[in-house]
Amino acid sequence: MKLNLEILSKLRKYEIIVASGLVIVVVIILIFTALLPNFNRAQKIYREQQNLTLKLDNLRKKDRTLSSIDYQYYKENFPKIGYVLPESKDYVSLFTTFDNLEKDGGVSVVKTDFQMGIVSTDSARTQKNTSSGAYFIPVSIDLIGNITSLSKFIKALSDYSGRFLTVENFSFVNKDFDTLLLTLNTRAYFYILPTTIGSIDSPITKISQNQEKILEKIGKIERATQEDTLNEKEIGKKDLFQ
Amino acid sequence: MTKKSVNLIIRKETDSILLQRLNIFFPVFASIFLIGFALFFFGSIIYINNNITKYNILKKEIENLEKKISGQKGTEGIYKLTSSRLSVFEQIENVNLSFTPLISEIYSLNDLGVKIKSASADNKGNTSFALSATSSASLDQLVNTLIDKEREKLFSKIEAHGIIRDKNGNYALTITFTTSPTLLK
Repeated sequence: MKLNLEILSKLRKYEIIVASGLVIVVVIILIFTALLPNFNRAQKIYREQQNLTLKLDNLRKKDRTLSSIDYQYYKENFPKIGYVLPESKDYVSLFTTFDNLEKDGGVSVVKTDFQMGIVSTDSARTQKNTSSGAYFIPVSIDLIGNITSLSKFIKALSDYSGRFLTVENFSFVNKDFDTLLLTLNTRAYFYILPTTIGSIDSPITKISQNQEKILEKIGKIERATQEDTLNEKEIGKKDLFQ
Repeated sequence: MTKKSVNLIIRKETDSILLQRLNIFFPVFASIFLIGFALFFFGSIIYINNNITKYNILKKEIENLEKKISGQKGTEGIYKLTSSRLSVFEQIENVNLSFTPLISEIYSLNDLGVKIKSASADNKGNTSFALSATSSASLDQLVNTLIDKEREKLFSKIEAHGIIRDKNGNYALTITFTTSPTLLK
């Protein structure tokens, strides 16, 4: 009885401290069970909101760019670019290019060597131009002409009128008073197009002014389509049942 | 009869100074703690509720834009592929050499009374040409012209090799030099 009275008196003495301690303990428990999870959730929402805002900005930019694109213009010119820089080695277009340049430039193409005399596998014959991402085939061309027509021919190799070729080195021999035999070691490029266009929020790189000028140049050049060429040639009956 | 007195009032024990201070400090601390918790807790709930609405609006807006962009896939594809091909041209053009100024420059040496028999050059500017001259005067003129070209920084490291004089008095020689990149473009 005396002991109980003593405990009661002690409790009475420390009741304020005990009650306050209990409140602190309960609040600490609540912090860990309710407040911290809430903070984590709020932080997650904040982070995701930031990501979504960024994504939305990208999408808006992309939408604006896409809306400003003249689809018809690019659609018309895309095959023309493909003629200048095809997806494969396309030897036929190389021959056509040389034929056209020969016709227009007043030079005679004496010899064209697509493999530079190397007996090699298909993969060894084509190399990648690392800076641009395009592949190239080494092509050696022997030409006869005067200095003016040969210069014109060299310039025409990279003026987008036919296959795009660059000159690596040259050598010439003076044949007559005015005639030169010029050997050009060139590179004919081809570019394998990417198979995917990227994710929906991937940004669109704007075509630069310089690139637009190149496209304009390519677009202005009139090229005979395969159908036109076929129409010009005698190819027999077009309809087998006629 | 003797009088008996009973003390009903319990004598109050005086608390220690520490206990007195703790009795003030603990309730104040607990109250601040509780109020602070309540403020942060309700604040976080308000923040979450507000931002969930914004988050949902953002998500909806993104979904709509994605749908719109998907509808323009054709345009996007053709634009991106055109852009990638044009960037290839741009990069190759930056390093493309036409050699035509150099060829003209070498060919124009014929005007000095020498005959350029052959010439060659590579993309690093290493150039050589073989010529024949009918007189030492035309050779002199050629040397002076080459010195001028070196002064103009068009040619450098000019060297003459294998100079032969035949019985008719004609000279044959090969000249090598490095061409300035401006003449290769």
